[in-house]
Amino acid sequence: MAERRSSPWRLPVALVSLTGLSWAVYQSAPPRIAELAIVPYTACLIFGAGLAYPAARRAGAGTAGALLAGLAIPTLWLGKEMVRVTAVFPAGQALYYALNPLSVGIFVAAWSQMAVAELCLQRRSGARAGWPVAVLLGVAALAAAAWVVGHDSGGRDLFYGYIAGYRRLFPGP
Amino acid sequence: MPGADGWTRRGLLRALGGAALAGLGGRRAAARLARRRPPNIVVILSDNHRWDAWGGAGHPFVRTPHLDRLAREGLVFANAFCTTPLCSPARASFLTGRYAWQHGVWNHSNRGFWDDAYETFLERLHGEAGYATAFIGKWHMPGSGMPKLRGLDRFVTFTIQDGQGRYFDCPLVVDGRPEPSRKAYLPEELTDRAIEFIESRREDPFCVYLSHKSVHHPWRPHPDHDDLYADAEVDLPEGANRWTGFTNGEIWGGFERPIDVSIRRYMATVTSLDREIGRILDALDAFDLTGETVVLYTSDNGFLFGEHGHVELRWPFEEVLRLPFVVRAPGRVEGPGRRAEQMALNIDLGPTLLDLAGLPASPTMHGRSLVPAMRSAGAPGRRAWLVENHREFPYNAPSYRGVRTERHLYVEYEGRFEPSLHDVVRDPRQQQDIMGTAEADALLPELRRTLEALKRGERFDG
Repeated sequence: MAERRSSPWRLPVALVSLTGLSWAVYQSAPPRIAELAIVPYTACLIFGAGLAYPAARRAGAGTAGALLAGLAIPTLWLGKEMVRVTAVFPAGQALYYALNPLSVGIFVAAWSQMAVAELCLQRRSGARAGWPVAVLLGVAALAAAAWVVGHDSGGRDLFYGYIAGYRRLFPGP
Repeated sequence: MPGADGWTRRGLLRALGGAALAGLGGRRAAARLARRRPPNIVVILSDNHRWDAWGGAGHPFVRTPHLDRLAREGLVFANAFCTTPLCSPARASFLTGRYAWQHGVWNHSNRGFWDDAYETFLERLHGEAGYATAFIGKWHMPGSGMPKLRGLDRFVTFTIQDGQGRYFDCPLVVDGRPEPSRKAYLPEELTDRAIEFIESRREDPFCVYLSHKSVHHPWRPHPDHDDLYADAEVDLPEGANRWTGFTNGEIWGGFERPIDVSIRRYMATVTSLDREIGRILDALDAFDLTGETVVLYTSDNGFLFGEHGHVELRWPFEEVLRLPFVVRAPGRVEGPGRRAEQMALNIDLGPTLLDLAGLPASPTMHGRSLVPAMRSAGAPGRRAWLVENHREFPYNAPSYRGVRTERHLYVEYEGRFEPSLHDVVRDPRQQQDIMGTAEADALLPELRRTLEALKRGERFDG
């Protein structure tokens, strides 16, 4: 009798749903309930990739599928943020918004968790995965280091660097 | 340290003083001379200090004994406002006496720059009244490199972190040259520099513009005050929760902790700043200059700690627009300790200080002197003024222009935002936008006419 595998999307979809639901509650509930709702929301945003990616992998998802599962929450969150930004700024500037240090930090966190998860899965299975985990880990480590070091590098932390980039790209008035 | 022509002016003042003393003799003559000699001026400008976050405003726990003393001995403008609730444009308005749309410094980033051609009240005090002048502290205006301010004997500032500076170990730029900070805590260092300037130039009339980083985020009190309000009970504004500042893009407003924790840190930083105000007052006492020195304390704008869903400035709400504004002017204030109800603006600072020095306001200045309101509670007040904001990436507040009268605040926004109208007397927390009501329909024609007139540069100064 063949082993029955669960759907690779079950946990990722559950996490996306939990994120959306907790956000809806946060936005509409009284402050005390909102303060509770923000906990799963933030946890899913920051740590969701570390749960969704290995779950999808174990359930048989390929590289692209597992990446999609891991990055779904940060991507949806960033999309929501960019739409919010268009209430005040043109679309081009909303696109640049995606590069802000907070967004980058969240994607670096997701990327790092996925890399670590992939490494653990490989060690456990003894097989090489279809994508270069060393590169993934290297990128994650470099980005994380840049984020931490750049936080106060000679007084120009990442935010001010980000704003300097904005000024170059969108000079005005 | 005389300026290019400082010795001549100082000599002239001394000669006039000596002649007056010789001619009239005694203490009476000295008193007359004191009245004739322009007063020394110390302007202490803070950053993001809410109008209600000090003891004299009735705050439930923050302690500001020195600011309270200033208010007891002087005058509180109870209806003081910034015309643009953002640091850079507000600071440019203080210096030039002009609205942001007039001086062109729209925000921190790329929408308008400080132009060295702008005339400041410091330049005129120096050039026309012989003042020794010092700008000490936060400059923080967009532009290329350091500004070339005219009429300054001393210019101490910092450029680190885009000009925001750091609370601890902030490198300075002193008269154009880099210098390390001698004190670890920036507000202490700036106060030291101000006191040194006062001491060195106390024979002259002097004007010190002491521009603090405090109480801008990240709120860092002096280590003595780190846990000062750790146990203070903080009530969050209606509708806010502890995490309001982490969501909906509010994080760029400087949020880094739950709101209640931030408020305690903010208030502790206020108390640390207050101690520095006290050191200035003590120094004036020690130098026997209190009786002939005007001390003015204010802030560039206020701050929202969750009110209206924001942890930010820039928005047209009273918590942001209102300023603490305290003036101690010995012999020049009717009934020390009172509150002036006339609306005072940041653009009034320059005309007021020039008036105190016996100079007319510059033609380019749009503000008006507050000296009449200092002298008389019944002096006519301003009837309306323009409030404006120019959007700044990546912050949430849109561009807007509005009119603030003694009773109403009407604002027209750019983008997907509907106009708003509040009766700020009946509803000072601006909980009810009355747009769409019969009351609003009756008010709007006049408010819109006034707004258009203000945009054209007309005044409604009473």
